[in-house]
Amino acid sequence: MRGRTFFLLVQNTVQKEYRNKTLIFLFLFTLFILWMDQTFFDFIKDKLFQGQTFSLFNFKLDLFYYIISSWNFLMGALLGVSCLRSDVQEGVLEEILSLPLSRINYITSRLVGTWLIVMGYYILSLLLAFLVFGYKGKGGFDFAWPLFSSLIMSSIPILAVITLGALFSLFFSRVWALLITLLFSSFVSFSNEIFAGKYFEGLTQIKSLGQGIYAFLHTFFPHIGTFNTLSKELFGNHELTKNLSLELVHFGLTFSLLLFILLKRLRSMENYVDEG
Amino acid sequence: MEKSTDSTIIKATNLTKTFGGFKALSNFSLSLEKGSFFGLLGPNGAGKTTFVRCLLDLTVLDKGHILINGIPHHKPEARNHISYLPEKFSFYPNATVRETLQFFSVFKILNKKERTPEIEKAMEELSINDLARKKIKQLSKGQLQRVGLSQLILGKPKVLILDEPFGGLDPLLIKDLKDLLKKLNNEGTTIIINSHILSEVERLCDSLAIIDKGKLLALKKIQEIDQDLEDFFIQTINSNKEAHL
Ligand SMILES: Nc1ncnc2c1ncn2[C@@H]1O[C@H](COP(=O)(O)OP(=O)(O)OP(=O)(O)O)[C@@H](O)[C@H]1O
Ligand SMILES: [Mg+2]
Repeated sequence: MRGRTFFLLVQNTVQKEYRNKTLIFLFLFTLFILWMDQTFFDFIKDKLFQGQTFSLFNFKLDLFYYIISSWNFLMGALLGVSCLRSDVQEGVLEEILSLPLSRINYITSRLVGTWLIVMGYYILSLLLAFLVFGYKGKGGFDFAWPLFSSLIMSSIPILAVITLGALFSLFFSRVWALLITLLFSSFVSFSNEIFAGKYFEGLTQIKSLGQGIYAFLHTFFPHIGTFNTLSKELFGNHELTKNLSLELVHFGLTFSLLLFILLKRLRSMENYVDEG
Repeated sequence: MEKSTDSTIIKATNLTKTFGGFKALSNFSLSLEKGSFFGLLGPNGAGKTTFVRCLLDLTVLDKGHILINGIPHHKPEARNHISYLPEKFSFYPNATVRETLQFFSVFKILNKKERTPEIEKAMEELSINDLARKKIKQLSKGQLQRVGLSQLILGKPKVLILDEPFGGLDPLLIKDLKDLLKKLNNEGTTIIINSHILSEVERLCDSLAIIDKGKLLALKKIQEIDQDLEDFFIQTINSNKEAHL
C-alpha cells in the first residue's frame, strides 16, 4: 500500500513538471549552454592556437560542468519551491490529503520526485556534453569518469536545497520563497566554510552574534557547502578533505529535522487553498 | 467513552474547533449508522465544511475524537473507504480527464487489473466518456463536477462525503446526481451531504441534522419531521438565536 502510493506520487511529481513544459524549457537551455561553450572554445582555438592540434575536451567539459552545477542549484530551489506549492495553488492538496495517505508519505514522495527530475536532467545534460565535446571521429569518445562520482555527491546538497525550497514555500509567496531559499542556502554554505570539519561542537565557540548565527546554521542545517566542496574535489580527482561518513550522519540528522518542521507546518495549515 | 456498535460507521464525540477565538464547532457530537443517507443542514458559515474537513483530518481538532469504522480518524487507514468531493473539485489544469481518474484510482482500487475497467465504468456512469482526453482546464463547471463525481465513486467506497454538491449545476446534472446517489445508497453506501438547498435534501436523505454557529441544534429522521422542512429549519435556527439573547 505505502510503496504503491509513494511511487505513484513520485511519478505524478515528474508528470506535473512534464505537463507544465518545464522540462522542455530546461532542455533548450542546456542546448544553448552547450552551443555557447563549444563556440567559445573553438573561437579561442582558432584565434590563438591556429593550426595546432590538441583536444579542448577537458576545458569544454569543465566550463559546462561549472555552469550546469550552479544552474542545478537554482533549479533545485525553483522546483523545490513549486513542488508542494503548486498543489496548494491548483487546489489539489486538499483532495490528495483526503486520500488514505499519510502527510509524511506525501511530502517525501514530492521531494524525491523533484530530486529525480533535477538529477535526471543533470545526467542527461552531461551525457549530451560528452556526445558533443568528446567526439573524436571514427567512433571514439573522450570520457571523464570522476564526473559521475562527483555528480552523485552533488545530489546530496540538491536534495537539501529542494527541501528548504518546499519548506519556505509554505510560509511565503513563490518569489519570496525562491529568494529566501537561495539566500539561506548561500548562508548555510558560507557557514560550512567557516566551521569546516566541526560538527555539533561549532556551538561552543561563539564569540559574536554573527558567528553565533553561522554556528547555528552550520549545526542545525544540512552541510550544503561541504558536500559541494566534496563534489568539486571528486571532479578534480583530489583527495577528499572531509570525513564523508561523519558528514553523512550529520546530513541524516539535520535532514530529518527539516522534514519534521515541514510536516509540522503542513499539519498546522488550516487552508490548503492559496490566498494569493 | 461510549462504545460504538457494529452498525455505527462514524462516531464523532465532543468536537471543538476554534479559529482564532471563533468557535466553528462547539461540542459537536454525531453518530451515523451504516447505510444512512445523511444531510447536514445549516446557514452559511454554520460549520458544515469544517465538520467534514475534521472527519477527513484535513483540519486539526482542538478537542474531541472521531472514529470511522472503529478507526481513529487521524490514521490514514481511516480514510480507506471514504471518498470526498469538496465544494470545488479541481485537479492539475494540464492533466486529462482520464489521467485524473487514473491518479485517484491508484488510491481507491487496490487491484491493478480492475482500475481501467472501473475508470471506464465511472466515466460511463457520469456520461463523460467523450471527455476522456480533454484537459481539466478545458472543461466547463458542470463537466468538471462530473469528473469530480466519477472520481468520487471509483472503487465503490463505503462512505461518500459531498460538500454542497448541488451548487451551480443545471437541472439535468442535479437529476443525474440524485439518481446516482440514490442507487449507491440502495446498494448500501453511506452518504453524507452538506447543503443548504433544503428541497433536494428533503427528497434524498433519511436523516438530517441542523447546525448553526458550530452547534448541533437538531438531529432527526426525516419521517419525524411532521412540518415543512423549510419551516422546521427556520424555527430551529431562530429558537437558537433567541436562546442566545
Ligand atoms: N481556515 C479558517 N480560518 C478562519 N476561519 C475559518 C476557517 N475555516 C472556516 N472558518 C470559519 O468557520 C466558520 C464555519 O465555516 P464553514 O466553512 O464550516 O461553514 P459552512 O457551514 O460550510 O458554510 P457555507 O454554507 O458557506 O459553506 C465560518 O465562520 C468561517 O469563517
Ligand atoms: Mg461550506
